[in-house]
Amino acid sequence: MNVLKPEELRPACELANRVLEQLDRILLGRSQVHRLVLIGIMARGHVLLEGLPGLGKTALVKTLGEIMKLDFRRVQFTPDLMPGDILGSNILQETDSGRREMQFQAGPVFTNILLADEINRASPKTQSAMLETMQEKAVTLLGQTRALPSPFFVIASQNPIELEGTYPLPEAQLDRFLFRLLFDQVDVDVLTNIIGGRRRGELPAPSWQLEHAQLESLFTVMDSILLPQPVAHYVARLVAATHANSPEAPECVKQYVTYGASPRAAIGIAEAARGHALLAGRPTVGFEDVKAVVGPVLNHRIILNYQARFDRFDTSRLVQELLGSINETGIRLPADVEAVDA
Amino acid sequence: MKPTTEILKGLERRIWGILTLRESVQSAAAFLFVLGVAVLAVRMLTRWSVEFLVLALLLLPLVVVFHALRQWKRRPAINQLRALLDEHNQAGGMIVAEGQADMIAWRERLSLIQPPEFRWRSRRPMTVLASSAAFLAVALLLPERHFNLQAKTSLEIGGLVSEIHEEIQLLEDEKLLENERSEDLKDQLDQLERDADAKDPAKTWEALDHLKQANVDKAGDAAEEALKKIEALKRSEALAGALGAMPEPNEAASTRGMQDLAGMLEEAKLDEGLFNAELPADLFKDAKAAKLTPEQLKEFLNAIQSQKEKLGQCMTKLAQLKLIDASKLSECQSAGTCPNPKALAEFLSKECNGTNSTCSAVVALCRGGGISRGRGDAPMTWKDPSDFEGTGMKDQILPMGSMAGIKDAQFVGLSRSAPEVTGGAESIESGALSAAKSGGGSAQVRQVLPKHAGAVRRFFSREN
Repeated sequence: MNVLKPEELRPACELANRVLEQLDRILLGRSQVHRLVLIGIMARGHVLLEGLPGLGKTALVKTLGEIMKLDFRRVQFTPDLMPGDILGSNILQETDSGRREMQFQAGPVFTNILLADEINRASPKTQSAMLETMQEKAVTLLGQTRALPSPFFVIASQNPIELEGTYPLPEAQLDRFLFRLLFDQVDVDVLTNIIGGRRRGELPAPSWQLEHAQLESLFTVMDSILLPQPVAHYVARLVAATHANSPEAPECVKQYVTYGASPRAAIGIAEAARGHALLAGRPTVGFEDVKAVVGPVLNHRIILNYQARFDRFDTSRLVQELLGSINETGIRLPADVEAVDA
Repeated sequence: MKPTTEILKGLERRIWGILTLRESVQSAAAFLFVLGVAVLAVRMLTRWSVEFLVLALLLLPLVVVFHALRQWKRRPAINQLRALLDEHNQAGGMIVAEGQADMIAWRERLSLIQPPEFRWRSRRPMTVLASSAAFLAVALLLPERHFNLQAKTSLEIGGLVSEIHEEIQLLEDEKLLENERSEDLKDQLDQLERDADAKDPAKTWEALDHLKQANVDKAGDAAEEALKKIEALKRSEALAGALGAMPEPNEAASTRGMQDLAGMLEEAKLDEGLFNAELPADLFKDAKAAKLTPEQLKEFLNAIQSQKEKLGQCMTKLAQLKLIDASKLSECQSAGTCPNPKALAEFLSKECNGTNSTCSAVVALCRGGGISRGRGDAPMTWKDPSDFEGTGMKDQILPMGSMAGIKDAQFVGLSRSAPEVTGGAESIESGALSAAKSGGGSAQVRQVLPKHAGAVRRFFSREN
């Protein structure tokens, strides 16, 4: 089996880090979120952003589109938003020859990066219309399937407050998002920099942009990142352990989890770990890559029971306990024996 | 730079070694603790030796070998070792990928691999091991009296048992006890020693006293018999010696003496009882027939002396073991000793004419009498009581007592006790007349006490 050579990997790594550098320069104080969003894009996955208004979710997506020279559209989801408003529809048009015919008017989904703002405010009908676009990356209307432009990413946002009149995303749709990223408040220093450096919150323009060919080369290199068999086994064990009936399931899983993660979660972890390894400049996926991405991949895929709500036990804590209980090497050393640096 | 395979092999050996050591220490601690408990149990509950348990320590190397083999079988797979090395070096999967892909292009990066060291936090298990070893040592070395339930209840009777054993052995050696009886007594004694319990010492002491008393009784019977036989033998010895040492030959005295000698020995019944003193049968027969030559007489005398010495030695041994009193021993030693053999020989030579018994002479000489045994020539006879015929009683008129007072006596009461002689001065010891003396023509003198004087005076001076 061939592994990427250093000279093959280095340019892709530099490109990815340069995108990241631009993101960090334009949007202050969220380097970890930037890294994960970039990993999500390199893994060709969709990302669900969750946070309060005004934290920079839209700015992040818009900036990403600018840096990558990708088409960017934003749809504000509301309860009366219909599928046709997103996907597009056939309308009767008069041609230059004076003939009238049905012409397809593409919806905002026909873009590279779609920001589905407050996606949980749309009706289930509209939400389900997103399913095909996210999974198949195509739109079928009146029996005609139209492919979406490549690359296509959905970056959705959810507001965790004002939940009245919202339609929580069904599990099937949640599962289609590679990551669910939480937007926290930035700290005082970051806020000070934002206020001091940004008039009216206007973002600076990117100083460098990623060409489409470069993006494609990133995808190509991503496909060549090797996932070693022990690491794949570790990923599989982690996902299996989210099910209460798994022999390796820790006690918290048995106590709080109703449904564990799906195989799509394992695929997502593997792909995201590849992106993490690429950013780190390695041709192979390591255990630390898996640990870095497993939280955002699993946190919306594990369904906890009511007991967990009562005990204020959330998925991030569960993932931490999961990582603590599953030994990546498979070597069961006794608790009083530890490996230390020589 | 070491090749990764070498590093992995070294890693495998280190893991195997440290896990073997860990398991061995834990097992050894458990083993020593269990052994200590076993030693304690054996020492507390039984009288078995614990040496065979100490030999179990030789199993410790086997425990180490067992764990070494077990850990070798359980050693991690090569992929797991790669994963461990990868994870420890934060190699990002390059070490684990080395097992399935050619990583030569990344050789420079892989050259930085450092195998981890393994640290075992051994303080607690080592402490447990040391404690177990100390526990075993204490279990082995602690004096038995501190924890041995058996020792606490045992009664120390070894000295007395060996003493009684010695007594039984002596009685058996001297043929005072039959072999079967002696063995039976020894078995009883051993059983008694085994079953001796300090919780119930009275039973043991009582049984020992019984055995001891049985020995003493047996020895006492033997001593009494020996005393009689020694006395007879000494008398016979004196007579035989006198017959052999007569200054002038006297055929009649010799004949009578030999016959008396045989009779005396026959009467002593030396061949009966506890001591079977056997004298030469032919000599005895010749003595009976009064045909002993001087040489035979001397030989017979020697046989008598030999038997006497045997009995004396036996008595000495019994006395040494305090089965008989020292007084009894001295009695045996002095019994029947002729104070003057020369005089006896002279008496037999000159005075004995063959008609009177030589025995009476011997008895007269040998029984010298004494404080405890009385005179030797005063045989006790039990005949009819003496009659009073020929004896008379002299009448004697006893002097008359003083009867003058009785004539005018008045009856004042009847005493339950016997009357006492007061020598004429009778006084009343109780009541108002206490200390009043009788006499002067009246048996009773009324005494008017001062506190009644006024009442009496008023009685006599009353009108009408």
